[in-house]
Amino acid sequence: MKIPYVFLIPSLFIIFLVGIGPVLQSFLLSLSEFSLFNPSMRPVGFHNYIALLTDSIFWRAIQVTLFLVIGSVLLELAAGIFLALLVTNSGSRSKRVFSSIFIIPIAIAPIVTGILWSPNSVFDDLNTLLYYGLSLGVYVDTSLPVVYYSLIMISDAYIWAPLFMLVTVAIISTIPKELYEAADVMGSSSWTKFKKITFPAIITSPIIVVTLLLRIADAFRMFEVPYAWSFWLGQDSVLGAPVDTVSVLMWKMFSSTLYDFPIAQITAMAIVLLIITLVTCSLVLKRYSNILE
Amino acid sequence: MTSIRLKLLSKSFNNKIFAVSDVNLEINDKEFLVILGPSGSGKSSLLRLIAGLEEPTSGDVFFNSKNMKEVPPRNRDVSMVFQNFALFPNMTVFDNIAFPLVASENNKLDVNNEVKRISSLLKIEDLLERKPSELSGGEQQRVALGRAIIKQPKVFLMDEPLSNLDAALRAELRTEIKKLRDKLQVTTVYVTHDQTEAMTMADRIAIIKDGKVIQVGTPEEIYNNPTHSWIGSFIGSPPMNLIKVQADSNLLNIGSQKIDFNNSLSGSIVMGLRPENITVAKQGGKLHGTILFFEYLGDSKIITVNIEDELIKIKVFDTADLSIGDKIFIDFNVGDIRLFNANGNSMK
Repeated sequence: MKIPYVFLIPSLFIIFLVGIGPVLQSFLLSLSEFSLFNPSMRPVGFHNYIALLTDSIFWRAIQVTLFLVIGSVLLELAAGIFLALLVTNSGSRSKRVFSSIFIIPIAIAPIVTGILWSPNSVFDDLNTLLYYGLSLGVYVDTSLPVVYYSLIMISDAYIWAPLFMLVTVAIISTIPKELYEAADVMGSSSWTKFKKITFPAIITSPIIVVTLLLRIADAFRMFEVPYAWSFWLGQDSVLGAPVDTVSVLMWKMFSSTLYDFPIAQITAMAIVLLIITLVTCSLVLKRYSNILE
Repeated sequence: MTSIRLKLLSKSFNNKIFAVSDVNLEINDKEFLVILGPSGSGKSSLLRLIAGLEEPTSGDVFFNSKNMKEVPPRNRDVSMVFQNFALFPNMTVFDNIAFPLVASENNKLDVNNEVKRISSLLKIEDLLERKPSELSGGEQQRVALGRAIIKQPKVFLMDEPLSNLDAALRAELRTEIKKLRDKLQVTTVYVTHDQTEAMTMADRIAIIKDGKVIQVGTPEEIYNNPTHSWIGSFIGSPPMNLIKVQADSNLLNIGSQKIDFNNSLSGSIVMGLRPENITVAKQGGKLHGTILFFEYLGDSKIITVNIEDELIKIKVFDTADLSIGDKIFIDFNVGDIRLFNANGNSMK
């Protein structure tokens, strides 16, 4: 009767080695005072966590991260659906051309995209043109939160909308043609058809839910785009950015390394990020459990 | 109040093979016309041309006397029922039935009342809150019917609505559709490959083969006087016997056997004879042959008889004293004989 469990041992060992082990290791590390210049595993209890939770900058980083994750992923979804509609409604030959073009951003390194959308590359020239060239007296003020948060979301959506586009095109191709014909015969407009057939099919598809989950988990680790922006938003802090503007959690972890590399503290942040990601994903899973079953 | 006229209607998908070819057809107001044909005969394409879901390659569709060429499906005031039901999966039954009223801008009917009326008509009141995936096939098709009739369309189009259902449900819904049609009095075009559906429901049947309408008539006309031997073998279960005979001044020769038949024909022709019009006799009769085998049908049996190497099926009810290998005589009324020429066309 015990033999079946013996055969489980190798796979359990591998799961522990690559899955549970590192997380446990990080957790233990986060309970110590380990840093680059003080490599000691002396336990300090939850000191690192308490320090984080009483740090207003850390709370700000959580807020910024959540805000950017929600905004970016929703924007990606909307843009992806829009692109998918463009692609599916075009002719069979242009369909291939369009989807090839739309897919390009996903292959560009995110840091390049970050720089591409950041103030110096576009907005310096654009503003010069608007303000002086055309003498309109207006310019895009990239130091305004509403502008730079929007632009960071747009940059992220620029990278990932193609993923949603691909998934959405696949979903649309599975919708039976008869549904549209039935709607046609019953006198519905294109908008009604989108609202009542295409859109519900997209957002109730298990494929889109899984893609959303993947993107949410990944968006919490957003780094390159805020990093690129950190060079342009003010000069009064580390790396030239006011720490409360673009400091997503990943950026905060990164910037911490520049002082004294407090590995234990950084690990504590990573654990908090892990928990937030898990909670968010399980909330999404719960919300869509009926679809995925 | 809508009659439909199809004038030289053709549809080709690659300009070589015609799904529908030069079809002329008149469908009268309030008529229930069944388009009957085997799969791939173009019957669904013909229906889709009437609905406007396909554009004709040439020819015209008229509703009353109005040419529908430039009229999109949503302005034709037709309803359509699809073989796979085409219910909207994310909507409840209520929303599905209400859809045509909600979708069209100029609806003056009260949505709630209409859905209640239609659902009680189709006996699906208890299902209104469910999703289509929670319904059986028969219930889904009832919902599809409800969705089609709620708008009170001028023309009702049905594309093999019963093909995806099992036999018992098919019979039940067949009666249901017939009742519905008597109640609603709307011009209906019904496409099917099932001759039973066609025979039981139709006012008139249009037989379509290879994109061409080859006979239009009442079920009786189609059954009794097929204009083509193919129709004889397509309609009826078992189908019409088609026997090669030599016509020769007042005689039809099957091998060495002869039938007296008053004709002025000569040469090789085809004699059509329905299995139920033949009787079996021990003595006398017009032809004789050997019983090859029996097929048991419950109320009756089909006997296959070899007469001069022609296999003839006979429908009999009493086979108590017959067995395989018996030599028997068969008899029939010469008035039941239908003759077709070598190309299969009916000869009067």
